[in-house]
Amino acid sequence: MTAISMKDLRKSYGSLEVIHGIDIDVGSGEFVALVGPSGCGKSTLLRMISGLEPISAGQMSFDDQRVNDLSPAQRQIAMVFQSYALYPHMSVRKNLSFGLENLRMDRAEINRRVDAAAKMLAIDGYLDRRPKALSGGQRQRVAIGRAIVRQPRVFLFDEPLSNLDAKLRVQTRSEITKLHKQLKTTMIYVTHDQVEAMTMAQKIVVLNKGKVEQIGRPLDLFERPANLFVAGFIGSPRMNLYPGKVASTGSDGVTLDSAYLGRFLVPGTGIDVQSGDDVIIGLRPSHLKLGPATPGAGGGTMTVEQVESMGHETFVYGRTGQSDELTIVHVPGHFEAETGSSLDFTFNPAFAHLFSSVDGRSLKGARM
Amino acid sequence: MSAPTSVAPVVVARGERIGDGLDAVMRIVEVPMATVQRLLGHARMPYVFILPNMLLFTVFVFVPVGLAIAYAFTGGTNLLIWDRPFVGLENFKALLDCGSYLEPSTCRYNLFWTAVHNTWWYTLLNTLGTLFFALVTALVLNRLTRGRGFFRAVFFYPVLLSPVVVGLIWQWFLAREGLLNGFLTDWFDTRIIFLLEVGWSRAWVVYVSIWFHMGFFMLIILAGLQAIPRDIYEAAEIDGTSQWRQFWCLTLPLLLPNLLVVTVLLLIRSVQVFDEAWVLTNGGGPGTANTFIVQFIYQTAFSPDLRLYGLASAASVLMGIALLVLTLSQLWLAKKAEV
Amino acid sequence: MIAFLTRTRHAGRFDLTDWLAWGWAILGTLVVAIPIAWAVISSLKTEAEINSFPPALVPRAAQTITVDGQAKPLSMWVRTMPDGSEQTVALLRRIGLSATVLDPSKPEETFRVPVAELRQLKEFHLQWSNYSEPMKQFNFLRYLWNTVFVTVVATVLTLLLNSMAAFALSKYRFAGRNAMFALILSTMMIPLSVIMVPAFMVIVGLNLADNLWGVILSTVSTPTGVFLLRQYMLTIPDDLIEAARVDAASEFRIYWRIVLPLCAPALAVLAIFSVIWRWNDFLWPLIVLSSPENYTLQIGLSSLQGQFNVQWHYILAMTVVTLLPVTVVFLFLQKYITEGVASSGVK
Ligand SMILES: Nc1ncnc2c1ncn2[C@@H]1O[C@H](COP(=O)(O)OP(=O)(O)OP(=O)(O)O)[C@@H](O)[C@H]1O
Ligand SMILES: [Mg+2]
Repeated sequence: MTAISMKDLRKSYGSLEVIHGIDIDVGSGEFVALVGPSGCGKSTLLRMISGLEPISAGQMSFDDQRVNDLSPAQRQIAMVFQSYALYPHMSVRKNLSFGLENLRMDRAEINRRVDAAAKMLAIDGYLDRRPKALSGGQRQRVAIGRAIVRQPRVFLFDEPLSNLDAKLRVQTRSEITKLHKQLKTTMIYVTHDQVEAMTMAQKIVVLNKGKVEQIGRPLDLFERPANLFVAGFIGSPRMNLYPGKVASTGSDGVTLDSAYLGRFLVPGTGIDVQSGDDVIIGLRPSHLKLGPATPGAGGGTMTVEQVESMGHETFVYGRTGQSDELTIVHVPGHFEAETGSSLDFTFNPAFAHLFSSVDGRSLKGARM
Repeated sequence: MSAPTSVAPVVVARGERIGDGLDAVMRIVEVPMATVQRLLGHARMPYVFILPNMLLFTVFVFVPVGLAIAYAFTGGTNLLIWDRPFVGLENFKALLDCGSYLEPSTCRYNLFWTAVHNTWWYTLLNTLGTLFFALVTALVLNRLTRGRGFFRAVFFYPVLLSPVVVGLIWQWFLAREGLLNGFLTDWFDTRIIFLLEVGWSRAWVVYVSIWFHMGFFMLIILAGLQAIPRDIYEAAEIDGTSQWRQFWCLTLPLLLPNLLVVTVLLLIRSVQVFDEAWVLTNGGGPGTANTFIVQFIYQTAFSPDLRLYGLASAASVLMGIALLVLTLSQLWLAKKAEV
Repeated sequence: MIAFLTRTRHAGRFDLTDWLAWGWAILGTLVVAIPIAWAVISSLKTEAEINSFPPALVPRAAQTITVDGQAKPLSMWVRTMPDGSEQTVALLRRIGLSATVLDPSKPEETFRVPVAELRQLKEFHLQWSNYSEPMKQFNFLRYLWNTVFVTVVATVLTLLLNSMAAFALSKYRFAGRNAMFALILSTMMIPLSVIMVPAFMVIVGLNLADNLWGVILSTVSTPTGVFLLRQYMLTIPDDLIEAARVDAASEFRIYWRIVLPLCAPALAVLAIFSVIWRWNDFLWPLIVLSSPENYTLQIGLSSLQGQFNVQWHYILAMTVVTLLPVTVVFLFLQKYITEGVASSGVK
């Protein structure tokens, strides 16, 4: 159990800086997910934590001990690679024991740990096989097993599920969560799949272009995104965004004017706007309802372009006015609509998110 | 577990036991290496890994290259460079001192110029001959639908023999009592002491070289031929292109880069002819008919009554320059061939 | 007629060009095989047979017979009598154009006959002593041992040192990496023949002249080996090495337990080549080694040939001994060798 703290971490390749000063605190035993679009620096950051990538500037500490210059072995971390990186010329048993042999551990202890890990992951049936003779899911578990036997201070995962098919991914997801509950070791998990992050992690760090956009509990990120980037990244399908203008501010909330949604009052205090400001209004698809606008609530009309029904839920995509982006409405259950037909939608203004149209920052008192 | 994989664990386990066994041996090296890593840090380990190699290259290649140039400007018969007097360009002047370069007997070191002439003719004939036989053989093998692997192996086999073995086998074949003379006696009632006649011996030296090395170049050309996509020919076939035109307009142009590289490689090798010719002709005979540049260098430097290291080095340097030109042109051609 | 110049043809038709192709291939096979076969056959002939002309196509030896009253076995001859009938006789001695012979069935009676009436009887015979004698008489066992020593040690060192260098060049980023790689490759351009004089001086300076280690050390680092292994190692995923690093393996252990085993195919190719190179080496051992007890097979063999009284029966037997290992290696690994050469242009 190890707490990790990163202070103003930076990473440069030559003159090219790819990590621009990152501060993250990971609590002892916490499961943290690093998410962000491709190329944002997730893997780089993870490798800096592991000790595989030298740190250009800043400080990394494990339990208040500075580890910047320690090797992965000295940091006592274990890592599961996206490619699994199983040693192809060694049997599964040898794959698991290799790291322990490197530490000159007692043979009996090695066997004990390997057998325990194998049993836990249900790979004890093929300890004598080579990785080549295993399925993708089995390899994945061997890779995790190789990390477990080391009893590391920190587990690092770099997109460990991206090579699995959808079904296996869901299953392994819950297995890793279970594992974390069992071992209670600090885990840092890199993924670009926000569903994985939302379902597994206790804390999510959203990265973009080498910077932290927001850190928070999964639901916080969903309900109170700190900025447009997080709002767009978390949640699937994405949030609907509309330009608007502040008509007036008052003690009971802010009245907004939108070409697409009409005029409505967003309740709440401490909304950081002035009358006349340009804002961006964000609404989750699940917060939109089909039907005519009730007085006091906002609403609009869209021309249906596409309907995606999953049976138990339906997404309706439609164009509102001259807007470039389609409005997405989530309808529970099965729903049918003609392409080209007109549908009214409405929403509860309390759920509306407000972002500055200047820098994308949330204006609704989100915690950052 | 299914049947095919059930054997695997045994093999795997055995492989790992071997690995562990070697591991025990390697602990002896590993412990000091781990210490080195602790002392130097892991970022400096690549230097440790590359050090032994670089050291040997330095001692046995880079230093000698420098020394070769230094030797070329010194005289006397001492081997150690610091005991040798500086003579400037004297060695080069001596080597190049010639009435007419076309007539070795007018030169101060006529043996050198004889060797140059011999090497020149050898290089020309050997390059053309090898190229021809290698190309035809490669084309033939490429065409065979059956037995290609067998014939490829047969033609390649001599490449792996040692020059001494090749020299002796052929010397015996061409000997006075040899098989060839046996046939000549049977059919023409005559015997020729091939290796004691200037013309014959030169021809046989070239022939034996071709016999010896042809397989190597054939293999390279064959690889080039097989890299030509089949469908090009199919397209030509559909267009009604004649076979002859297919060869001239498709095969040859597509093979040309490959052939150029082979040619330069051949030139580079030919200039350095020594081993098999030396053994075959008992040291470059008859007389000096088969004395080549490398033999000149070897004799000048190492025969007990000469020990003219400076002169030998000067000749080496001259040959080195010629080789460098050839090698650079090969690199250039190879680069062009890639594009 | 010209079709054979172009490409592989579909099976089924068999026309003139196919005949030409097969003719060329078979003729070529004979050209390759006959001189070698001739040397092998001759190596099993007796000294007398090897010097007799015209040569016999199979190894034979004179038939002999032990006759009562004669200390040595006598050679057997067929005598063609003037009337055309034949008689088997044993030759006692020969003076000028007449010979003293006896009839083996009546050993007491000797008689003189003209040499022209005699024809020697020979039988199939393999003279294995051609192989055993030089081993004792000319120290060939010693040469063989020296060669095996040089070949094995040099090959092991070549694999080890070249793979270490290749590991550094392929799996690390470090200052000077490209320069070092270029330097190593540039040594391909410097043949031994250009630097033999100073290289020998270095050997003398290191006190390795006339020493097998002088032959070994200078051949251990090969640019071809480094290049071959580096190219292969580039295909090993970096993830594996990082996984091992995370697994607390030292850099040397990563090299030894992860990279080397995964390079086995490339190492095998290099090992085959190294064995063949070192076994066949001639010029460099010729320069370095001077006393016969340090000779390698190749040097010993060529020195045997230089002797005044050329004993071809021994030379040929030792030639066969010398080419045998290479041949065996080739027989078993033919596919790897030809493919290795074709893909890398290494020889
Ligand atoms: N060795 C390197 N030299 C230069 N730039 C690099 C190097 N490695 C990574 N980068 C850059 O650093 C940035 C972050 O890369 P990183 O691999 O961390 O992305 P990522 O978030 O893991 O993306 P993905 O989701 O695609 O794996 C990228 O823009 C990449 O181009
Ligand atoms: Mg990544």
